[in-house]
Parts: sequence; structure tokens; C-alpha cells
Amino acid sequence: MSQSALFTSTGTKLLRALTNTESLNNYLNPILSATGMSERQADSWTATVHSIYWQNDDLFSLRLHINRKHYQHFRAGQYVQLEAEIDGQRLQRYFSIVSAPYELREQAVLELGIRCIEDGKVTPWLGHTLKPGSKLRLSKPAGEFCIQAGAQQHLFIAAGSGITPILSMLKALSAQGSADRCTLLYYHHYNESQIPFRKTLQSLEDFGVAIHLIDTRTQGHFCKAHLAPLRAELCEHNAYICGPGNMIESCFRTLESLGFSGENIHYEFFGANSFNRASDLESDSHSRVIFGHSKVVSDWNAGQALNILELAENAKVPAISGCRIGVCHQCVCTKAKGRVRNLQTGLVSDSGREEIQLCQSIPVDTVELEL
Amino acid sequence: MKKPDTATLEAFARELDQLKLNTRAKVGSEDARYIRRLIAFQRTLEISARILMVLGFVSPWLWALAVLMLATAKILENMEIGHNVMHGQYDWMNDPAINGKTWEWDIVGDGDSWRRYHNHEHHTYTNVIGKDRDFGYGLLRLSDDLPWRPKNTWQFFTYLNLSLLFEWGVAYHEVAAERIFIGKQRKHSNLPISRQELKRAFFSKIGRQVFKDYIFFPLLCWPVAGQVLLGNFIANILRNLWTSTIIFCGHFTGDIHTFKEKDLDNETRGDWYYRQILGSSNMTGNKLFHILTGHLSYQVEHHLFPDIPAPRYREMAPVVQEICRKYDIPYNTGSFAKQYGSVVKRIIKYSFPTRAPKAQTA
Repeated sequence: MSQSALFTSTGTKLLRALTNTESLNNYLNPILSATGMSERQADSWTATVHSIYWQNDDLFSLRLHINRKHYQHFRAGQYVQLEAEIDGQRLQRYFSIVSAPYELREQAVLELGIRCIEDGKVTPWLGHTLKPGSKLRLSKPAGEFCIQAGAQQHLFIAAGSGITPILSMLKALSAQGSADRCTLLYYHHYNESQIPFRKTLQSLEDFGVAIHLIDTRTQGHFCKAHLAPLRAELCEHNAYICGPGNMIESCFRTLESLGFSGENIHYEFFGANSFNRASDLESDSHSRVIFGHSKVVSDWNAGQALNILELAENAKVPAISGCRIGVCHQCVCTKAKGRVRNLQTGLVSDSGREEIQLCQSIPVDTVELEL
Repeated sequence: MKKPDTATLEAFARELDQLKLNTRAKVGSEDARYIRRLIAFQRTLEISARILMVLGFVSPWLWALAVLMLATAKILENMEIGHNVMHGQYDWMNDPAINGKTWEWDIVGDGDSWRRYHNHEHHTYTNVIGKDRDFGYGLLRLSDDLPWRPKNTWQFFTYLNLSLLFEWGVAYHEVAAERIFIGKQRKHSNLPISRQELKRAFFSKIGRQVFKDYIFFPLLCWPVAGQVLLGNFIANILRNLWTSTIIFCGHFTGDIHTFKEKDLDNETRGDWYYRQILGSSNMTGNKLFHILTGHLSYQVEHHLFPDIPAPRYREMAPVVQEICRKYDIPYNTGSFAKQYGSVVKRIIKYSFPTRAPKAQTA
């Protein structure tokens, strides 16, 4: 053991003996929070709300001020995890970054593109209740949907709110003077006035990005004909696709059928929030539970009427159980994502990370557990 | 007293469920702010107490004040913070620093062992003789359900000793130490961890607590090591007496009921609620008293709704009492003096063999 590791380990042991907490942060944070100071958490920082701007009826951008030194490695196209405390409850969501790294360097500003999900818990609160000057927490930027170094030409295909990470990449490329090597096909079903980020798109076009707005109601989905305005041969491009799963799949197939190499196709689902709609509630009868640590997936159906604890036991997943009537909290387990319905209250949970009682929960959609 | 019929208990359970839903809907930023501020206050109080204790050489009054402050800090940590957080009452906040699964409290009993035993056996099988080991802690005879033994004659002194050393009793009791150290090794255990791990957790927690109060802080304040050691010792004893007294008043008062294992057969939610109410007793008092008891002065509400943030019991209690009155179910409450008096009476009463009931004259 190196000297510093020995030092840290002794420090942790001493802290545990003296305070009964596993980390200094856990000891200090309730105090910091109670006195109105920012908490200390590994890889997560406080950001201050600068402004909220509604792009159309359901998409808004959230501009945040953040200390740029924590974001040195941010690359255009990445996303962050945002944590908000809403009525005492900490809720986390992933959002794409719309701004480019240079905006962070120059103005310490990070802009997130957020689609408001009407019956959601987080996005309506961010869009309507949050005030400039409020504090939020942001994690490190993450994601591999980024500009490919050395590519000759860039073809971006976006649908709906899938435009968000692509805007960041287009801004970054334009700032580097590569706008004339970029083409954007943006699929939407908005009327003229509802097209989001119009100003940004306009200025990108002024820089030289070839932008094609395609109204799916009149022009249909992605097809070979939509590639006609490309400035160079298709094979010289790297393609970046962002949108719903079926859209990505169909674009991928079409490109491959045109002889485009799969390894030059990069894509990202904007699925992080897409399961958050009320219509999904009706699919209650067929949902799944992913036991992440055990690498087991169990299908749930209403007919069997099993709670998640029983589902785990049937699948031989090592779940801890206790009273089985919701009293003892022995079976509490961290849910990484997905929603569950509480059998006692009938209430549907949040879709983010939280603790749930297995013996009192049934899955509403695809639920991932750390079990 | 006759047990209400199934339909009555069902309606009774529905009203309690509704109260739980209504309260759960109100739980929010106010509760989060309360627990964080209380933790901040408790940690500040503990640090101040430990610093002040060093100044004992200036005046013994300062030392006495420091001991009281440390005892209070430990009481707050154990009862209003630790106990309630470990019940999962604040898990909805999603705050990793205030998590029911990971919270460790300032007593020699290991938190994980307590969570396993207390939350499961005691809260599910409250006052079921043979299932709820908390009824008399295997040391005291507190009802006719247990046969009288000669050792019960001096059980009042056993009780006083248990109160003084309560944290040690709890530590030993929660791991069922007599089973893991002496008992036969079962082939199949439904415990999620092995005996070896249980023993390690048991000794490791004891080691950490002893190190802190009786080695580290006294040595840190070397010239006055003796007064710090003594102060810490007395603070721990004061905390033991207080917690033991409050807990005895919650389950061993005069009018408390006990149950048999067969009562658990096909138990409905209504039966369960009914058993929790008959097995628990409340104490009246002001807000500060309730906070210092960790709201275990609302033992009835705590047993009905163990995972609702405890300060909410204050507003739930009148509603629960009203519901009980409506369904003619006894609700046991009284002043601290009355309840504690009946506990002492019960301990003494069952110290002696029960006489066969006299034939009814009149």
C-alpha cells in the first residue's frame, strides 16, 4: 500500500469510528444544506439558473452558469445528469447539452435542451416553477455521441427533440470554420412558428451549414431522395443520427442499403424521458424487470400478479426479504430507472434513481434494479 | 374485550390506509428541512459538548453541562434521527447522506443487525409471544404467557441493570447473540449474511464505539483524560436510561395486550393494525418531549405507520384516536408518570407466580 493510500484508509476508518458515517461528505452535507450552502459530492457540482427560454409549446432551453474548471473535458454532443430537489425530494434526469464547449469557456454557460413532459415530475417543474438564480446540481458530461475527428463531411439527421446534441456539434464545428462541411436533415412535424431553435438554426445557416427542414407530414420520413442536396459523395460522410429508436433503425437500414459503411454511422436515442408518458401506463400488463447486477431479465405480466420480490426469487436473484407486507424495509433496493407502482398506495413512482420496497412494487415499464 | 369482526376491521383498516395516504401526500420540503436542520443541530451540539468537556477543569459546572449536552446529542441521534432514518422514513428524499439502508447510529449495537431484527421481527410480530423477542427481552417476565421462574423474583433489579446498560443489551439482543455464539449452527439459514459476518459486525461496532468514547477522545485531551472518560461514560449511561425508559413505556404499560402465534394465521391488514394498536401505548407531553423520545411517545402511530416521518405522528394521532373511538378499539395513552408507573407495576407484578384466578363471587 502506498503511503497516501494508507493515509486515506486510516482517515476513513477514523472518520467512521468518530462519526459513524462512511464519508466526510455524508457527515457534512446535511449541515451544509441546512445552512443554505452547497453540498459537496464527488463528480457533481452546483449550477445557477440563468434563464429559461421556451423554444415552442413543449421544448425549452435551460441556461445555467457553472464553474468552467469542472467541465474541461466536455465535448460537443454529450449529455449531463441534472439533479433537482422538488418538494424535498431529489430527482435526477439526463438532458442533452445544446451549447458548444466554447460557450462554456467564454461565458461559463451551459445550455440544456429539455422537452417538457406534461405529466412528468421534473420537466414541468424545470420549465414553469424554477426561477433564475436557483441552484441545481449537474454531473460530469458523459456520452460518446460526438464529432468524429478526421471526418471529411458530416451528415446530421435529427428528429424532434433529437436536434439538441446535434446543435452543440454544429455550433462547435462552425466555430472551427467547418460549417461548409456540415449538412443537417431535420425531421419535424411543427408549423413554421413552432420549429424549435429557429434563431440558432438561422445563424448556423449563415455560417454555411446546409440545413434542410423536412416536415414529416408532407415529405415523409428519411429516404434516399432526401440525400439529393448533399454537397459531396455520400461515402465521404460520417452520419450522426438522433431521434426515437424506430427512426434511428430506419435511417440506419436506408444508409446501409445505399452502401454506406455501418462504422461511420453514429447515433443516440433520446429515450431518457420517452417512457415518461401517460400512454405507457396502459402497457402495465406487460412490463419487464432488469436485475442489473445479476444480469437477469424477467418479464412481468398482470396475470401472474407477482410483486418484484417474488419475481426476483423466481429468477433466483439473491434478494433480501423480510416481512413481505411493506413494514420492515429489508427488501429495499435501488432502482436505477423505470417506474413502479406501489401496491399499497397504488401510486406510480418517479422514473429516476431511487430506493423502492420490492415486496410492495410491481413494474409499470422497463425497470432496472441494482440487484 | 371482544375483538371486532372482520368487516369492522376491514373498514377500520381502510380509514387508517386513507390517513396514511393523506399524510404521505403532505410529506415534502418541510420534512426534509426539519431532518437536515436537526442533524446539523445534533452534530453541532455533540462537537460543542466534547469541546466544553475539556474545560471541566475551569469549573465542574461546565463539565456537568457538557455531559448533559453530550447525552442530549446522543439521545437526539439515537431516537429522533437514527431510529427514524433507519426505518426508511426519509428514504423518499433520495439523499445519500440520509438513507435508511446505510445510516449507522451512535450506540454499540450494529445498525445492520438492528435493521434486520427490529424492523422485521419486532414491527411485524409486535407483542406476539415467541415471535417478538422484544417482549421482555428474554430477561423479564411481563405477562402470564411465560411460566414463572425463580429468577423472576429479582427481575426489578434485572430491569434496572438492563436500563443502565441498555445499549449493550440492544447490541447483544439484536444479533440474538446467544444464538450466534452458543447455539447450534443451522444448516439452512434465511439470514442474508453468515454467522461469521454477524460476529464481525457485532465486534467491529463495539470496537469503534469504545475506541471513540473511551480511548480516542480521552487521549486527545490527555491532561484531562480522566474527566473526559468519565463524562463520556456518564453521557452514555444517561442516554441508556432515557431510551430504555421511553421504550418500556411504549410496549410494557399496564393495559398492553399480548398475542399468540396462532393469532398470526391468515392475519388481514385490519387484524395487523388492530394488533399494533393493542400492543403499543402513547405518552402525552409537549413538542420538545416528543422530539427527545424520537416521537416514540407516539408508539401507536409509529407501529401503524413505521415509515412515515415521525414528526407527522403529532398531527396523525388525533385522527387515529378518533378512528379508534368510532370502531370502539382501545387507544392507550397517558402522561409519562402514569405510563411509567404502570410499567414498574407490571415488572413487579410478574416477578411473582400468578395466583389462580379466584372464583367470581357476587
